[in-house]
Amino acid sequence: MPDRRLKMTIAYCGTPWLGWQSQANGGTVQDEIESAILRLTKQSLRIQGASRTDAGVHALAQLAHVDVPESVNLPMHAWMNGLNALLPDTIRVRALEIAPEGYDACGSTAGKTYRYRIWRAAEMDVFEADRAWHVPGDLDMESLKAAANSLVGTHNFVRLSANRGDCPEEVRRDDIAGSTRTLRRVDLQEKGNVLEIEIEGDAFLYRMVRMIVGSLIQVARGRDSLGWFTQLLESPHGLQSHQTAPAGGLYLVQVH
Amino acid sequence: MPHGNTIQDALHEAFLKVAGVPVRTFGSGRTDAGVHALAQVAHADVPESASLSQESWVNALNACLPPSIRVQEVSEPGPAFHARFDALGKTYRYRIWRPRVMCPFEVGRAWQVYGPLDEVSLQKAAAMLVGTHDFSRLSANRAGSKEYERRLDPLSTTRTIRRVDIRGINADVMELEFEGDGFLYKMVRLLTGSLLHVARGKEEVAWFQDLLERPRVEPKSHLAAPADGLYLVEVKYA
Repeated sequence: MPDRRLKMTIAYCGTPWLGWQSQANGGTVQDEIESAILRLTKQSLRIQGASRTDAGVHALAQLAHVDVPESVNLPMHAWMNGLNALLPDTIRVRALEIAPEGYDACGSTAGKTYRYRIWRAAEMDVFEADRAWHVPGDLDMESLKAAANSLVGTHNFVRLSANRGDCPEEVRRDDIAGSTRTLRRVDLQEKGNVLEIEIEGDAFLYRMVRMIVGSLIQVARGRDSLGWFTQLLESPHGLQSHQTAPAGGLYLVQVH
Repeated sequence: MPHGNTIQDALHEAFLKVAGVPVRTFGSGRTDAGVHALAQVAHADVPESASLSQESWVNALNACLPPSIRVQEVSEPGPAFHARFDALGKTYRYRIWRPRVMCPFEVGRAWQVYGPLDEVSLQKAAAMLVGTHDFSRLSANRAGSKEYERRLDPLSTTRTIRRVDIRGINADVMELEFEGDGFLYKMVRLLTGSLLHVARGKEEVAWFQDLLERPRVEPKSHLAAPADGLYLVEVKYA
């Protein structure tokens, strides 16, 4: 009998965590879930997540899978209740099911939706600290919309993404396919004091959403021109954007 | 608190940095550890040497305060104003997270109560609160004072509640809002915990009514809802 693959939907508040991906010294969401699985099943099992969120980035519905050996015989409700009882309360398993045939949390994704929250009032809200980026003052919404619209479609995002450090920058620059991504939707929505930027795409490069948002706001504040922004997209040569929005405003909303 | 980690301590430290001299602050009332505020009101008597505009006070204090404490507004109401003695009423909100799985963003900000609630009993019990009652059995004694002393003066435990609103009983977030002339120690948390006890069907509405209408009978309610879900929403002045 092959292992049984479980699919998990996970929500977390990223503030206390060093990101999704496991690290040698722990402190990540993946480490916490794997240690909860170890305590629940007495088995050291690795989980695979759909998105490697950075330290401080939140998730409303991260997806992950784990392959469970046959010897572990826990009913589904015991899995979910057990994990939630063992996990810190800033990490919750929202759903857990037997994965469909051939499911792979990293490989099966057809796209992702991220939301970036910006707090617009003059004073930061105490309940929004680490959950939104404080951008008070005037924003040129027309330029912001124009820049946001220019993102939709297939572009080389090499200047709107960062080097993870696993290859030399020259190599990254030469790999055009490797930094080309398609964005299907970039929506701006103002809800009271919160400006939300929601981006849906086939996949995202390292720091891409935060650099897009940082650069969009740079334009909206009138500190750089719309031309500067479109150049970042149209010409893959030149400096990367120097603007990265803080991690606390970013939410992984959905994995498609 | 001496060497404490309270809002007032943080405010005193910020005033010391901004004004250069110790400045005492007086809040409209105390909130327990873990209780939130959307608009607490406090007053401070500042020396003439520290003459800043109202806007500068806001900016200077906020620059010295941690992000979880913000001064929203500063005004000069005149020397007669007293944040506590002039308060005519307060509004508190209690937030309850209803789904089976707690939301990771609501940790420390709402109380999770999963499962069916009897709305009819809940509304019936809540409606009984409106009016003037002796809340001896629905409030706690602060450490250092004696219960029997408190009981000698019924006026000290009598309060008027003007409004109780309960909404979203089947939504993700259910809210209970209490407006009254004043609230005793742990009163809102005991009211919420006791109301939810009835809503869960653990006790009858009559049990709640007895707590309210026979203040000298034992026992008191000990069902305080956790501090996490409680918010001071507004302090009313003339």
